[in-house]
Amino acid sequence: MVTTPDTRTAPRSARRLGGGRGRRSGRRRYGDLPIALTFLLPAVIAAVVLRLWPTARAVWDSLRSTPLGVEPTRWVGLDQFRWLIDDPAFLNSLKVTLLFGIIVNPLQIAVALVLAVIFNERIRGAGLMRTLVFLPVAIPQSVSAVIWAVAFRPDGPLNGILDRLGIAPQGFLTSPGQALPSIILVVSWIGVGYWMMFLIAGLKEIDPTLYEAAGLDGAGRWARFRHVTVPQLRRQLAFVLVADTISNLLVFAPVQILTNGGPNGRTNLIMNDVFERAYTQVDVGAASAATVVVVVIALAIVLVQFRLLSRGSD
Amino acid sequence: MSARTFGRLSGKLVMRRDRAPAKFRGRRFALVAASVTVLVAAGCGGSDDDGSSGGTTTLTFVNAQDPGTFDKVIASFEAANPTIKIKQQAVPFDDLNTTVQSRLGSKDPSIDLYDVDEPRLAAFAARGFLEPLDDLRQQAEGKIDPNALKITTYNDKQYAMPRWTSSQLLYFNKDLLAKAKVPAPSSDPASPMTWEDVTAAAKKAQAAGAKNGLIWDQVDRYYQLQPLAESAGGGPGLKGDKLLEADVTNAGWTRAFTWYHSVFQEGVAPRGINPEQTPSLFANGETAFFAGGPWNSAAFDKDKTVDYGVAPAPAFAGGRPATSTDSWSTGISPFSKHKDAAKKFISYMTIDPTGATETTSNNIPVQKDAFRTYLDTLSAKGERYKQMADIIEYALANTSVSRPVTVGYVDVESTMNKAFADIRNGTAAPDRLAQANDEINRALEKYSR
Repeated sequence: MVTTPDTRTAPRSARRLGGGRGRRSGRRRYGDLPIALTFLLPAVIAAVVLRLWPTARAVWDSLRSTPLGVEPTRWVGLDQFRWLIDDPAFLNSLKVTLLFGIIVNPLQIAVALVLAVIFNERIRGAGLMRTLVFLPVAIPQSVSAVIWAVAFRPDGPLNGILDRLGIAPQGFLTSPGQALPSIILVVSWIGVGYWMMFLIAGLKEIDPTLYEAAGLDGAGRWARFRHVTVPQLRRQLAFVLVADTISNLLVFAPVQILTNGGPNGRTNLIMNDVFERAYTQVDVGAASAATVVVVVIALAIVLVQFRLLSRGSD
Repeated sequence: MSARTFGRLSGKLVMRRDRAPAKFRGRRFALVAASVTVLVAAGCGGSDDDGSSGGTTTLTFVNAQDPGTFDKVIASFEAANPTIKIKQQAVPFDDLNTTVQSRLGSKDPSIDLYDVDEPRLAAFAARGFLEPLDDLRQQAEGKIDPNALKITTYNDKQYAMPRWTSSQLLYFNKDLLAKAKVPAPSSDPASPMTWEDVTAAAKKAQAAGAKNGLIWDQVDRYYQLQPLAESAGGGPGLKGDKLLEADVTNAGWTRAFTWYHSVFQEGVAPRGINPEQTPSLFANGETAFFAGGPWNSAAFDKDKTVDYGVAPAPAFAGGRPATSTDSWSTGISPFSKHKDAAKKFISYMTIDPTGATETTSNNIPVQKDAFRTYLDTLSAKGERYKQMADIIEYALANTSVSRPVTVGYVDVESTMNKAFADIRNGTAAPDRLAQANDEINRALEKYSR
C-alpha cells in the first residue's frame, strides 16, 4: 500500500531539489527504493518469520512423521494426507466446519448489514445502541466463552428465562442438535458488532445525493436499499465477506472452552481438530497436514469470493 | 501512516540524501544493521541464560500447583543449601503438558525440574523428556511406597520421583439423608456402599427436597471414572502386551457406563456441569452424595454450609471395590545444566522425611514417615477426619487402581474424556464406547507405525 505514493513522490522531489546529472539517472532508476526497503524491512522480516517460514514449515512437516512427536521425523509424503482423509474424526471436522460456515457467514453479514443500516439512520439512541452492539468485541473471545458457558448451563440463566416463559429447559451445549447453533450464537454475538462497524463506515461514504435522485425517481425504501445502498457498499461488503469467512474458518477458543468439540463431535471445528492433533496427541505431522488442508480451503474460498465480487464491478 | 504523510516523509529523506549522500548511505546501512541486530537478538533472547551467577545455581521448577504449595520446602532447602536457589514457574494444570512438551521439544535448557502427571510419565520418558533417576531410586527403597515407585518407572528405569498419591471417598450430606430417612452410609473402610444403593438413596433424597442426588468431583475424567469400569470387571480399557489396544466395549465397561448414563438421564446427577463447578454443588448443601478425593474436604469445611460425613468409595454390586490413585511426581529435564543440584532438591523433597512432610500441603505423601505424619495430623483434627484417615489408609493398601502405564495414555485419556462427556449428556453408552474403541485404536496405531 505504501509503496505507491513512494515511487510517485520520489522523482518529483528529486526534480525539485536538483542534483548531479549522473546521480539523477541513478536515482531515477532506483527512486526511493532503498529507503522504502529500509522502512519495509521490519515488516518484511516479520512477514517472513511469522508467515512464510511457518507456512513452509507446515508444508514440510506435513510430509514427515514421527510416532512420538520428538524423535527424528521420517519422510512419509502424501501418506500423511491419506491417513488424514481416512480418519473419520477429520472428515467429521470438515463436515462440521462446512455446515458452520454455510450458516454463520451469511447470518452474520445479513445481521451486521441490517444493524448498520438501522444505526446509520438519524434515530434517537442510535449511538448508544451502536456502542452496545459493538461492546462484545472489546471482550476477549475466551472471556465471552466463559460467560456464555454459565448462561448455557442446564440450570443456568437461559433455562431460567425459558422456564419463566413456560418453555421446557433446553440442553444447549449438551445437546447434539443445539451445540453448534449455540456456538454460532456466541461467535455472532461478538462478530456482528465488529463487521457492523465496517459497514457503517461504508454507509457514511455513500453520497446522499444518490438517495435524493433515487427518491425523485420514485424509488421506495427497499428500492433505494437494493439499487443504491448495496451497490455502493460493494467494496466494504467484499472485505467483510472475505474477512468474516476466514475468521470463522479459524474459530477456536469458544469451541475449546465451551464444548471441546462435543457432543459426539458435533462442534469439532477444524481448528480444534488441528489443536488436538498438535497438542493433545502430539502428532505434529498430522496436525501440519490438517493445517495445510485449512490453508488450501481458505485460499480456495478467498479466490472464489474475489472472482464473484469482481464480476460486474467495473 | 497515511499515504500523504509517507510522501512527505520520504521527501524529507530525499533532501537529506542529496545533501550528504555518503553519510546517509552509512546511516542507511546502520539502520538496516540495527534492525537486523534487534530482530536477531530478540529471536535469540534468553537462550544463553544458564541459571548460574556468582557461585549460586538457580533451578527452574515448572509445576501446576496452587501458589504457596512449595514455599515451605523451598525455604528450608535453600537455608540448608545456600548456593542453590529454586525459582518456580506455575502453569495452569491444563497447560502444563503442552508447555513442557513444546519447551523440551526444542531442547530448552531453562527448565531444570518439572511436575510429571504420573500416567503421562511413560510418554514423556519415551520421548526423551526425562532424565533417568536410578541412583535416587536406590536411596528411596524402603522409604517410599513401592507402588508409587513402580508407577514412576518405565522400561525398568526410574524416570521421576513420586511426591504424592491420591484416593477416593464418598461424601454425604447428613441433613439431606436424614430428611429422606435414609440411613447414613457406614464409615467402615471395608464395607463400601454399592453404586446401586447410592442411586436409590440419592433418588429418595431428591424426593425429599435435595436438588441433586449424586455428583462426581471430576465428571468426564478418566482418573475418576476408570474405577467404575474396574469395579464392574472391565479393566483399564486397554489390552495387549504394551497396552496399545483398546478394550472399552467389554461387559464391565458397558455395564459401568450404561449405569453412568442412566444416573444423568434420570436426573439423579445434573448435566452440563464442568469439573471445576462440581464441588460447589455439594458445598452449598444441594447435593446428597459427592464422590471425590480427600482434597475436597478443605473447600467443604471453608464454606461451613454443609454438615457432611465420609464413607469409602462405592463399588458395583457383585464387583470389586476400586479407587483412583496416584498423583504428581517430579522429574528432571535431560537438557538441564544443573542436574546434580536438581537431584539434590528432588531427593530432599521426596526421600527425606522432613522435606516430604514440608511438601505435603493438602496432599497425601508417599514417603512413608511423611505419610504417617499426614495420617496422624488428619486424625487429630476430629472424628470425621479420623474416619477419613482410616478410609484413605485402607483404600491405598487394598483397592487402589493405577492408570495404565503406556506411551499411548494421553490418546486414551483424551478420547475417553470426550466419550464420558457424551455419555453423560445423553448418548447411549454401548454406541459411544464402540466409537471410542475405534478412535483409540486409530490413535494408538501411530505407535506401531
